[in-house]
Amino acid sequence: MSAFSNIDIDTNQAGIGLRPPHYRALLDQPATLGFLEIHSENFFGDGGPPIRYLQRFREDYALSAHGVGLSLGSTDALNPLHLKKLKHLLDWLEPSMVSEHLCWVGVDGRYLNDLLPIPYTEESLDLVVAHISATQDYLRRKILVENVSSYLEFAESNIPEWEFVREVARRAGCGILLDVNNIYVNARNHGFDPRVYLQAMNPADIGEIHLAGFQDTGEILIDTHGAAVSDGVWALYAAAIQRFGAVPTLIEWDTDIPALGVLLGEAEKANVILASRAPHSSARESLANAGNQHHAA
Amino acid sequence: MLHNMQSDFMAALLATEPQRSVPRPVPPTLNIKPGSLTPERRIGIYRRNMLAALRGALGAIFPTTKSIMGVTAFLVAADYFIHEIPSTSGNLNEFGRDFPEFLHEQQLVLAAMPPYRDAHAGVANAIVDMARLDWAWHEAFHAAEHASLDLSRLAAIPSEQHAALAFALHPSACLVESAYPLFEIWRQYQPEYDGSATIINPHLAAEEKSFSAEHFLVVHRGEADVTLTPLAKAQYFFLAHCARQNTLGEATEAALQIDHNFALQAFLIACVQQNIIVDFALQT
Repeated sequence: MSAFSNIDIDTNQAGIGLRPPHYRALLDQPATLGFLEIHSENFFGDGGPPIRYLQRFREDYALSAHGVGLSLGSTDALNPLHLKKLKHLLDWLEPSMVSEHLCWVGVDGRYLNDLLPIPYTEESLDLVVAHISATQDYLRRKILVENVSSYLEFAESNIPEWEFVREVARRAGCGILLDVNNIYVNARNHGFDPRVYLQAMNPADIGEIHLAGFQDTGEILIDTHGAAVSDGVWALYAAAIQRFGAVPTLIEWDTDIPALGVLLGEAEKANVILASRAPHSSARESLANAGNQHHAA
Repeated sequence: MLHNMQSDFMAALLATEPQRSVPRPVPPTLNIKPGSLTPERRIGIYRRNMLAALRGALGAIFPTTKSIMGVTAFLVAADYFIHEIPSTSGNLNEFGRDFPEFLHEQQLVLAAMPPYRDAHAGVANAIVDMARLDWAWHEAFHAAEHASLDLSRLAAIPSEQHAALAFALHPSACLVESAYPLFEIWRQYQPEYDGSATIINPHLAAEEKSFSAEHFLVVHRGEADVTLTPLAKAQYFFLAHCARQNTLGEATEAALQIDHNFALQAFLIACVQQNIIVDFALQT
């Protein structure tokens, strides 16, 4: 199975989230994409069509495995069965990148299956750093963690979100999957300057960027992944690429999924911005570290 | 501290009872910064996101059940299930394992819903069975692969040992029995069904005099997609014995007791060809 593994990510080409409505089209006529990103949990099964499709995609595309259910920010212990299934998937898939979210998904053994916010405190920092370190040790590889969008702030938070994210990467030795849409959404929802966020990041930590669309209710922005990337997010993305170099970039679209052509059009827009900067050495190094090398810590 | 916050947050997400639009106040221990939106409305956004994810998962796993019940009634049942039966995995493909049993326990409630109120109570029973079938389909879809049975291996077994053979079913295979013609009902609700669309026939359910299962099928994934195969009662019990790792002798005897014309050889060959039976062992 390893004959076709490890297709390198082309950092000059954006990727898209791999969703079932596009399986056939992407296999019938392989698209020029930097990579495809899966939701890891959708391939936790023992076999069947999902796994067979993934085996075929792996022959034509570089892949990234993005998890939504590990619950790194929960006070519950990491779920050993979830970790086991994730490792089993990664061991045969050998994706170029592996990522999870900086959030909690459930507590006291009950899952809410949504990306829930954590207060930005030293206590939270200790917890997520311990969980990320344990995950990297178990998976024997470096992971990227993604900043999430949020619709509230806790009065307990005494560390700015951007400092918290940077500190997580520094202490856990993980990379950052910087979701530029989530920065934009949170900046609007909580009233901060999104460029301060970008400035606070250590460029060497940024292993991937996510772009998606939000919904503006007039009172708050909701991260729906159900619309085209907004002009404001494109502008922030251009600033991110200027700062971090040509980082692997993903277009995410999860609700009201449009025809493949619409996603490829969004990826093409990202490509234009990516082409405006040469690959950044530290970004490349960061990407290589996120690969199959064993976690050194 | 953090643990209390997460427990309070979870309680706040689940505080509003299903089908009620007025949220309960968020406890002050959940120290949410005031701003342009109240804490209740902010928690409400997360509650909607959570419901969208869990309802979406149930709808995707139980498509036939949802079609039969109709979207409104399905969502009522889904919301009660979401509140009462916790999701216990970060993988949404695991969510819903207990949904058929939940519907079974709630069938008096189900039978009181507007679409079914005037129908025979059997309709609610048929919906429960359809939910079991949808779950079996979902599990078969994700089940492990297994190579076909090599008939030359079987041919090498001396005939005097045949009765001691124990056949194994494909990892995806699940046997389903029902008092209702599930296969026919299921077929009507598939996107490719070209007959006239009918809702589940309440008269059909009303005609059932007893709840003894008289309709049998096997759900499995052979070479390609998940397949539903209607079975005769003798065939069903033959496969049920195989699934329990009983011997060919025991399985055949059970099938012949139900139908003395049970055609063992033809049925065995069909099951091997369709990858329903994929392996065997000699019981000593």
